Amino acid sequence: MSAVLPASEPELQSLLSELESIVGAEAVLTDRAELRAYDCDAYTVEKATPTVIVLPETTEQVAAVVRLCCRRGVPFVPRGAGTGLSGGTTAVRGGVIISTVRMKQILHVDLANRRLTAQAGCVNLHLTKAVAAKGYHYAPDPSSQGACTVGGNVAENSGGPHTLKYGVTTNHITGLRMVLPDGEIVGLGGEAEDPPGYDLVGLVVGSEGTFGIVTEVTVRLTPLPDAYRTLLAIFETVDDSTRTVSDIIAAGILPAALEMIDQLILQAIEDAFHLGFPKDAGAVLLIELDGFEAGLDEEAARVREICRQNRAREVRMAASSEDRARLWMARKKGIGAAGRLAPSIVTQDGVIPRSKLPEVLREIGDIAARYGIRICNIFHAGDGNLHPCVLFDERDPDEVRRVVRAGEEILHLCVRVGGSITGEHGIGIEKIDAMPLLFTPADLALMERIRRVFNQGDLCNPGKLFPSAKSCVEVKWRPRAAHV
Amino acid sequence: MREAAGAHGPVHGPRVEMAADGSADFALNGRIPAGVLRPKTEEESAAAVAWAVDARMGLVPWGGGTEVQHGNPVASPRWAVLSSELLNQVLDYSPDDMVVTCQAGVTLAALSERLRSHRQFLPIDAPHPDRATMGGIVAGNSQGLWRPLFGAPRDRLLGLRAVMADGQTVKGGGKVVKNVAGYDLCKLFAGSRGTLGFLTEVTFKTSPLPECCRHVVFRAQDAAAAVRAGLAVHAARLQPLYATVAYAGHVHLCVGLQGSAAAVAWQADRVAEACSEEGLAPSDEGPSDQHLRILVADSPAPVKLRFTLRPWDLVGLLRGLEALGQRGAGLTLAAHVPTGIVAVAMQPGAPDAESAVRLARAARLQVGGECHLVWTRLPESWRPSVGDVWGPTRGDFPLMRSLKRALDPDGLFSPGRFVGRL
Repeated sequence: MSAVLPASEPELQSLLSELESIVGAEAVLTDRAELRAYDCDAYTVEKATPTVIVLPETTEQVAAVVRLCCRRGVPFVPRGAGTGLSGGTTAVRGGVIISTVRMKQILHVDLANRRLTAQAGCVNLHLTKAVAAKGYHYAPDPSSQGACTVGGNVAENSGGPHTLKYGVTTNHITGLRMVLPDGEIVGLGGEAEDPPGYDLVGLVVGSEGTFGIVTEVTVRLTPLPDAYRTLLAIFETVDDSTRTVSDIIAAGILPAALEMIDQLILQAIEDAFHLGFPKDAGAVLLIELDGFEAGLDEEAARVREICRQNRAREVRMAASSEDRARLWMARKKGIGAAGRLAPSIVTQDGVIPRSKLPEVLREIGDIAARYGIRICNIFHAGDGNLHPCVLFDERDPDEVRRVVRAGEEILHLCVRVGGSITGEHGIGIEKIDAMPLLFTPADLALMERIRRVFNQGDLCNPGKLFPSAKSCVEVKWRPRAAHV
Repeated sequence: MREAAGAHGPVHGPRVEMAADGSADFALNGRIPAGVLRPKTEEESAAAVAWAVDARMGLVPWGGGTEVQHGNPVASPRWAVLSSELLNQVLDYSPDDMVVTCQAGVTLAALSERLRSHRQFLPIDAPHPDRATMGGIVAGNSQGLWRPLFGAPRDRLLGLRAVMADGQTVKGGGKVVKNVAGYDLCKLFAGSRGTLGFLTEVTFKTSPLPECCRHVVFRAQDAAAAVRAGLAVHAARLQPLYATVAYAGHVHLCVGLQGSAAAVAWQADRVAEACSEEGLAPSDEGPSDQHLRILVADSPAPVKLRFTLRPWDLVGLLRGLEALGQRGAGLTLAAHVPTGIVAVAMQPGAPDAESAVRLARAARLQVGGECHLVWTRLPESWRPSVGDVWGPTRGDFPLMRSLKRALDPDGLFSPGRFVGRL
């Protein structure tokens, strides 16, 4: 890729004034404090200040901004809510951050055909809120769903705790409207099944904002379950709980969710929310069954029995929807609660075959001991998607080094047992160096060839996903004047 | 006559020979390939591709041949069939993880047999599971009756390996149920109809065998009433395995239910209520689930169509199709209500090619909203009237064309067969 030269002050001013003419002056942010607020997402380890942020309101405005960037050779980066955990929206080469935060309308709801179309900046939870009263929801529910946008979900192919039964984002998207990196607007898919041709929608979902900027999303709506049984099973040891996970799956039961929380985070959650969680338990399992009322009690009884057979100390069941909501709040805010355990926390993301859970969790414990750091676990046990939370102090450079090396060892471990380097958070910047653990040079070359089909000029979200993106000379697009 | 497939000069490493005898069994659109290549391993598959590139020969990947006839004619004067017949091993099955990996030529029946011994199954329904291969099922994204509950094969495909036009073997995805590393090559290959590469290996997530299965049938006065009953079942937020209107002279609504005995029984009652309100009566006659599965697929009718549209637009489409019936064409039809997919088999009576095509297209236009029409079978003499069997290309076609050119610049794989003659 060609290095992008720093721009002069007049060039910058000219860019800003053209941007203002597209989106309006108050939708162009250049203030130093504002720029710093956008210098990273939730992956705070690597920061890069953008040159400017724009807040368009329509697809046409996004397209005009992109065309301007192409004319000027300026990199641009799409950004939803900035809740991503791999640096997917960090402007590593400077340039324009195109935020979708003002594109948050729900455009069309068709309950009869179970379709909803929303702008990309619409918050995930708002989709469900729009249809819940009629008995439907948008199933993919990442823990950040109160803030993250559906466009961001598309970029990362986000998951959440209910993917075991309901799948991930890509199983629920039927159509997209997007601005390609040359500024062209294109519609992919639609509302009907199987539009003839390649599954471009499926290809764009999970492409981490490197194929263009999605501005509208058409989703599949799912009926809300009639009934739930939400259980909290309390175990003395992590091993007992992982064996329970295996036994539940082996019994042919497919829970809607199967989440594990270990002692350290349990204690933090209890201190934060006072839910009556036992602080001395080795681990707890949050098990949710859903479906029609008929037959649900029998299924819950079978799950209870499996827990009991694996020496569960106690199995509680949510008695009301408030109870259920409280249990889920504890799970979804668990990592936030763990924040009180140390000055800094980084949440890893890896996937392993479920059957390897016991040995992998034990090995993660060994890794933690060997590096002298604390690691706690809260994660989607049902699909083997681990989230080791590493507790440390980022002001201690030696500890930071140990945390980074421990993280690398965990990723190697995941791959060694037949898993993957990311289940939900994506590659972004964070895991570029780990890509060769999974992919051969031929695999990576194929993916880069696909990327060039969409993104010939390498201006759209550069520096992400591929090791080759890093090896180029990193020259940021910035004005020569000390603007930033 | 046999040609050796291998590198130029002395052959080192794997080679696979092209067999010319028996080629007539692999005819496409009335034309016979130069021969058939049957690699036994991934390495032989790569050697076969390399040979075809050298020989300037098109390649048509071939699984069980159950859906390979769908498509435009091969746009190459000479081509060979690349068969997955000998890639027939199940490689890796972990019941605890509910993940299975097999070579692309394993049939759905063989795989299902293996999974059944662990009380699991792959929720993919095919008219002829004893012939349909897993690679072919991915290439066609083929799902029969069970789509309302289980989605399409692209939703269960976790990973794959394929030989590309440059002879490289690549992988996509992995062997775990959740994975967002890199671009989603599984979605790229699913439904790509053998135009991007040759699948050698595929990995799927399995499901536990259900406790209970039921197939209930209702007789309707006409197709519109049956569709309305199916829509009522859909609107009641029940979870049918399928709710399919079958028309073959008489009209029936067939509903499949799966799950715990209690949930199935409860849903069966709700289904009966919804049907009764639309004037449908339970029926002992009407197609069994096996008959339903092959109703259109096994019809000897020479013309077959597939429409996809929004469920509530089905009534409009059926009204449009009635015009075909009024012109003397014998129609057999399976309308999958919750997913808006309609398969039609047509025995042309009075209509000639031109009028049949016009009526089919008019039926599509009768539908107010989005509606796709694909001709999945037609007499060769009808091709000039039908044109591209996949229908008109849309605004995203340039992207598709660029993808094909990037991955298969010389048009090695199934040239001309796909949308827009890709």
